[in-house]
Amino acid sequence: MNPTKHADQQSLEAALRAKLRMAYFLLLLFVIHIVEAYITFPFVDHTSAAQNVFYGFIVAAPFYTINIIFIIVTYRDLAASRQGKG
Amino acid sequence: MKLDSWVLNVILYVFFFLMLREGRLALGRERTSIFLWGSILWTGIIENAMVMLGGYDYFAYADYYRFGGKLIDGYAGWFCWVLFVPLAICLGWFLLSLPALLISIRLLGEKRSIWIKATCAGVMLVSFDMLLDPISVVNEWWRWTSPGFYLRGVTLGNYIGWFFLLFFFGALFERTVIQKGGFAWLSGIERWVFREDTMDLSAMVTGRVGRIFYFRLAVFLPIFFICCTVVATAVTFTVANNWGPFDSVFPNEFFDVLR
Repeated sequence: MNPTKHADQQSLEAALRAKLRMAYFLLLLFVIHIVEAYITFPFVDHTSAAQNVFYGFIVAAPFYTINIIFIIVTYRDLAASRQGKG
Repeated sequence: MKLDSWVLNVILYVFFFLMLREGRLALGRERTSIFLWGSILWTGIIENAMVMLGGYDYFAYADYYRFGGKLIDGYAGWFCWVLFVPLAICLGWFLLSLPALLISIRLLGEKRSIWIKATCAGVMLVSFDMLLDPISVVNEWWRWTSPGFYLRGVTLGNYIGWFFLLFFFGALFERTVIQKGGFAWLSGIERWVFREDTMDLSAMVTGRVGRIFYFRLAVFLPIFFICCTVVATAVTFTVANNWGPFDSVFPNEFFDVLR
């Protein structure tokens, strides 16, 4: 592999890893908010913290589902990138 | 258990720095800076306008915090403000929007319409906000004062606004900064303002691309407000279940006409 191609490959991998970490941070932020929803008062029209958590998982479903799909796809991209290097 | 607003402040600032670091690696330093300053301008202007119109407020719980047994006069629990809006709110929007947009672009591919990708990013953002905002209401971090359909203490108009915030911002950012393209209907005005062809920005330095992006945000600002007003008003008149639970701290009668 020539040096330019090798450098491009490295920067592509670094960008993919950065995007992967971003997705993990988003998931971590979601978990933090679910914990907050559990330890805080019941939401308006709710009677318990468990209801808060259930509601959180329902409404945030598009958020974490898209995020998890992205993590899987990015893992594949990274694996393909490594195979291309080999 | 009561969670004070400084808790959210700390979380948002920490995640902001983490996302900024990763954003610079993923997108490059200059493009991430354009996204950041664009976010602060875009959300700063829109949020301040909504606070001044009496849609919601961040001051309601000032004169609430105590230190050493003494009341901290006027302190509402936020570290730093952009006029009437906590800086943490603008940074929070950045830290959620940047990855949401990058994720949508990757999953939907470069060939799909920028508006479809912006829709996907907007849905992600609203979905997360539907968890965050009910927490903020019960912990008295901020409150809504406008009429509308209230779900868990939060008006539906808020979610409509959040969707359009990233819908327009994301589409403009992708078209201008990532694809380095333009909008045919806007090119005539831009040619007059920037004295060059703005349909292809690929030969331009990133700083100038940034200025064109900020200009486009300014052009789309009234479009954003019109879309939000039309959709939110339609929703309010059809399904409103609460004509404003509180009076805004701003003496503004904008929403009173609906009561």
